Parts: sequence; C-alpha cells; structure tokens
Amino acid sequence: MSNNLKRELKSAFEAPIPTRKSSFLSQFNYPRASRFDFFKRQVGYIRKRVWILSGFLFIGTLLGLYCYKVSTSFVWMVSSVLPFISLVSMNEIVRSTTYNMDELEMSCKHNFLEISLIRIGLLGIGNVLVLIGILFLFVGKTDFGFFRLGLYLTTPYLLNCYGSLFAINRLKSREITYVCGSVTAFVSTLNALFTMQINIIYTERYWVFWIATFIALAVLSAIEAVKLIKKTGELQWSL
Amino acid sequence: MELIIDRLTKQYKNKIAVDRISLTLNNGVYGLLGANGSGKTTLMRMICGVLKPTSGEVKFNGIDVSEEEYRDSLGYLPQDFGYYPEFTAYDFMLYMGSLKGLTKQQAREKANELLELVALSDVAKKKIKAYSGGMKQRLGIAQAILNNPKILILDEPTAGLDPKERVRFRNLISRLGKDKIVLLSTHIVSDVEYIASEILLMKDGQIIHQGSLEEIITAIKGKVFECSVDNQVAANLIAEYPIINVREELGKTFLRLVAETPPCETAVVVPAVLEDLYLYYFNEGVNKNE
Repeated sequence: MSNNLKRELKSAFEAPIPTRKSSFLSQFNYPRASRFDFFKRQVGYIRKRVWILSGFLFIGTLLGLYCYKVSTSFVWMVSSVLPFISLVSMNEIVRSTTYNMDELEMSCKHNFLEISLIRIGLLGIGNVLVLIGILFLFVGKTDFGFFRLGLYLTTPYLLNCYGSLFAINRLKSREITYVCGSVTAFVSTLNALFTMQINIIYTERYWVFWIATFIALAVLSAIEAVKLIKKTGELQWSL
Repeated sequence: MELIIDRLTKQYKNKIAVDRISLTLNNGVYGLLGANGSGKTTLMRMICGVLKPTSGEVKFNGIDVSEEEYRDSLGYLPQDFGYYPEFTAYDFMLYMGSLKGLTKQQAREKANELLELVALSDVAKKKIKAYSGGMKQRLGIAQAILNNPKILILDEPTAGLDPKERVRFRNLISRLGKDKIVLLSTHIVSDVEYIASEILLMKDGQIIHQGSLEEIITAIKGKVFECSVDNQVAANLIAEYPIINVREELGKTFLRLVAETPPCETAVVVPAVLEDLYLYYFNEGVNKNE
C-alpha cells in the first residue's frame, strides 16, 4: 500500500479508542529488573550524607595524623567520634519506619526485609571499611598494636550500635532518630570522660576489660540486629 | 484469577480483630464497608502480607501470600502512608517502581503515564511535602497500579479527595475492575454504591453480609419508614428504634428509621438504600446519646 493511500485512509477514518488495551498487553511477559538491578538502585537511595560523614571522618583522621603528634588523646578523640558514623547508619536503616514507608514497602515484590538487609549490609560494609582505614592510618604511629588499637576504637562504636538497636527494637515511636541521637551523645561523652578520667585505661592492666567488653557488645549487637531483621517481616501492629 | 481467603483470623491478646473470614474473590470491584475498628484494615493488611494471620491462609491462583510471586501481582494503598521528605512525586514513583521489580525504563514510562492519569504530571517534580492531602492520595493510587497488579487493595482510597476527584477516582476504579480483583474499604457509602459489584459488610471482625447492592439491602427491604411527629413521640421512637436520620422541620421532627412494622400511624414505608443498611448496623449507641 502506498504511503499516500495510508495517509488518506488515516485522515478519512478515525481510529477507535482501544477498549481492552491493558488486558491485551498484560498477556505478555515483559522483562523485569533483576535482583542485582534492584540492589544497584538501592545503593543510590542511601542518602549521601552517610558517605560524606564517613569520608569527613577518614580525611579528618588523616589530616590529624599529619598535623599533630599522635598520642593517646588522639585515640580517644577518634573513638568518641566513631559512634556518630553508626548514628547516621542507624538513621538510614530505620528510615522507612521513621517516614512511615514500611507498610508500603512490605507489600512490594522486593519487600521491606530485602530493603533492610541491603541497607544493613551496605552500611555495615561502609562502616567496617572506614574503621579498617582509620586503623591502618594509626598503625605504627602509636605504641599500640593493630588489634589493641582496633579494640579501643571499635568498643565505643559497638556500645553505640547495641544501645541504638536496643532502643529501636523496643520503642515504636517514629521519633526514634532523636533517641538514637541521645544514645550516641551519651556514648561519645561517656567514652571521652572515661578515658580522660582513667589515664591508665589504655594500659595492659585493662586489656581483659577491653576484650570482654568488646566480645559482650559484639554478641549483644548481633542479637539485637537479628531481632531488628525479624521485625521487618511484619508490621508492628497493635489494636 | 481467584483470590481465596480461608478462615483468616487475627488475634491480638484477648481481642479478635478478624474472625475466621472466608472469601473467594474474582475479577471485579469489591467494597468493604464497616465502622471504625470493625477489622477492615487488619483484613486488608493480611491480604497484602503486611500482617501475618494468627490462623488461616490467603492464596492467589494457588500462590501463598508470603511468596514474592504473590506480591508481584499486588498493588496496595494503605490507609496512612508516608514518603521520604526529599522525594518528588516522580522520584517516589521511580522508587516504588524499583521495589515492584520494574526496570528503570519501564518505571520512567509508567511513572509519566500514571502521574498524567491522576492529574499530577504538572507537579511531578515538586516535593511531596508541598502536596495537599488529596494530591498525596492520588499519588498513592498511582503507585498502587504502577506494576499493573492483578490484585488491587485500596484502604480508604477516597479519604481526602474532593467530590470532583472522587468521581474521577470511581471511574478509574470501575475501569480497573474489569480485569483485576479490586478490594476497597471505605466509610463513604456512596463510593461503594457506585462502583462495587459486590459489597462486603464487616462488623466485629466478621463479614455479616455479602452480595450485590440489591441482594444486600433485602435485609431491610420494607423495614425503612419515614414520618413527621411531634417532639415527645419523636423522643419515644428514637429510644425504641434504630434511627437513620433526624431532622427538625416546622415544629415537628422528621424521622427515618428501621422497624419491623410501622412505628406510628403517620409512618410510610420507603425504598431502602445502602446507607440505611449501614446506619442500621453501625449506629449503635448513637441513638442512646441523643
């Protein structure tokens, strides 16, 4: 059929409005996004402030190490700041509940549980990388070994993780962000006061205390994290 | 297409919110009508897999509610939903598209198409926090149909919509109901009357009536009366019968009520409507306070 004739026919007869277009189209299987696509897109939905704060802390430590003489006080300063990385990560993890998106997310193909696992996984990896990075910056610049330094830096971080997760799992309030902020401020201040008041806290004498505290907090944090993951499977409901 | 709800129960401590409900839903619009606290939202949440039932099961074409495949066929508008504050309507649609398993390209196309459909395309790039209640509700409706769901669950979808938007919404739902299972809950009796092919009346966690509009109002057919009486007689009738409407007019009191036999000499029987049935079942206690 010539193009001219086609044009003439088009102008002469108005095409009817499709009546069963959607049911016709729904018969076909369209390519769907893979789980990896979903994962990649979720990475983009993590707020930039998490990565920016982590970057600032890393760069700040780097600059501090070059500009000042590394001493015990520098260790407690960094260990008092690390809980704030955990705070922004926690806020990101509970973001759906804070903004009342959890119910909607639970009903989707890739549900709230998947979203939470991706967030926890990514933020956990991010935090571990920052911690390891900072540890490597410190190595050889203090009298402490790698593991000992690791204990001093991560124990307050873990205390904050445990405290925040404990609160998240027990409080139903959407204002949980402020509660986590208070927990972080408390942990950070406590760590600073503790290490300032007890000068010998970083000596061999307290070695066992640090190991025991670290292990206890790691176990308790893991228990609370599992509880949080289980909670994401169902809406927290009450009559 | 068949959504089977089998002896679905949700118990919370001593209170049974949903009590052994069994339903089979096929293509069409189902209106769930009930008072606050009757268990509508709990039932809908269980159908969406958001709440786990105490007992019973929900299956769509043999697929259990807990499976990903089931959720892939589902569109849900909760009664009260939030959004991330930095999101525009378009961002929100893309985000929901990613959760519903759409590719980026599909999500973009569907977002544009549906925002147009709910008349939000001109404000698509505006932050949701600047939206009115009605606009948010329209956005919620748009996200619910983003994945072209086979089951569409809408909890109070017309809340916050103005009359013009409600008419538009009714027409949209009527169209969608042709090839989907649509279950919507509402307090607004007229919404159900206009669009639902089948009405489910829920009270105290149970479905007390089920059927088409004509079938369902047979329960009070020939039992709805209207009369104008003096205040003393009106007070007696209010105390004795379920009252649907009271109006003061020219020194008398006009009453619309439900009774087995004419409640007074001047009472005339009138055709029953769904609102009569609704008020008959759900205005307990109202008369006592009047």
